[in-house]
Amino acid sequence: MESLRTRHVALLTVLSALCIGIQLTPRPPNVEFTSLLVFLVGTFFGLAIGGFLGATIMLVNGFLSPWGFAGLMLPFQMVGMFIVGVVGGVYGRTRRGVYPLGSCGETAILGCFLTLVYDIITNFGVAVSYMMIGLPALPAFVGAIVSGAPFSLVHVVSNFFVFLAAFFPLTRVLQEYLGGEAVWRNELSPM
Amino acid sequence: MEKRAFTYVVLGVLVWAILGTIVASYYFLQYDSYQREYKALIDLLGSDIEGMSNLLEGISLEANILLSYGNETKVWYNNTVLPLGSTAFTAIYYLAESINYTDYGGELGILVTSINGVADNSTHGWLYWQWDPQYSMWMFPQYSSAKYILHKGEVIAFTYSSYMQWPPPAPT
Repeated sequence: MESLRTRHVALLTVLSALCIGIQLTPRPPNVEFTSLLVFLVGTFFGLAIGGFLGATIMLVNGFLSPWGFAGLMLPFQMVGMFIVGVVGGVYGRTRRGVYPLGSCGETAILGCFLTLVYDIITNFGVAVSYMMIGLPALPAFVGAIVSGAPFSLVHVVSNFFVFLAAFFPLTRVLQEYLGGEAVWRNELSPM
Repeated sequence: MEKRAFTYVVLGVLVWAILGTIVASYYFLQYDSYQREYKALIDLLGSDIEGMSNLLEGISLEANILLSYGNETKVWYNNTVLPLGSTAFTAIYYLAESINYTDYGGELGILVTSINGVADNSTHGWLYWQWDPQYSMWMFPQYSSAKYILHKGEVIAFTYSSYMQWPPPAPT
């Protein structure tokens, strides 16, 4: 792994602080910007840092969230957000720093998909809690998924619009901050 | 279609399919649950007429209401069933074919200005009375009918009376 430049470390720090700050701010249930920021960090800094940031954010969130201690859900939330960061890293590699306006649609669909994957993983955590009180695995999992449907719907739809509206302008701003898309392609993709 | 675009379209459709299935399952289970509750309630009420009657009595009241237009035209609405907690205003609101009123808000409450096309003017207006069974006489609550909460079996009257005589004449 290449070492990060000071400017990159500063940017990563600011994005991480922004991410955890927004995550801990009281907001409507299941409307969040953490996925977007973790995905963005993944695309920019690579899948290792993206995944690590996602898991760390959910670890902190699990203890300090305004909704209370995450408990059994914590490891599932960490895995879910880890995957978001990793997929962001993979997406960044395939794109190699080129994010035209048309990539908004791609990232919006990816955002939807990753949100759904995250919800399925966290609902599996709920299912585990059902299983611990004696429910068989399949009914527990189906029950958890189905009972969480309204929340998943809000989560997926809101993230579709968040990714659609915010990913493209954010990449533009970050590219300008760091000196153009070549920076993404040449300096950061090895991670 | 370009392969990349095709991949994302497929991914989008996959998300839609999974989410749609989950949401459809959710609403199916909700529907099933409410239908079972409804059937259980119908079964319970159907097997216990007396219980249903008691239930309805518990949440409603009966009142006798006189509507006097001040020209010897009087209409009694006996044994009128109203929701528990009804006021004299809500009683006349439900009974009248047409009604106008002014809501002054707060402590002043609502003033009825017209019932069934008979409206207030400079000399006459709508007043309401409450029958006091203890003294066998009509009492004149001098506050808004919307503040007067009815009790079971209560008798009230809305009269179209002249302001020229105060206190106004009681209903006869």
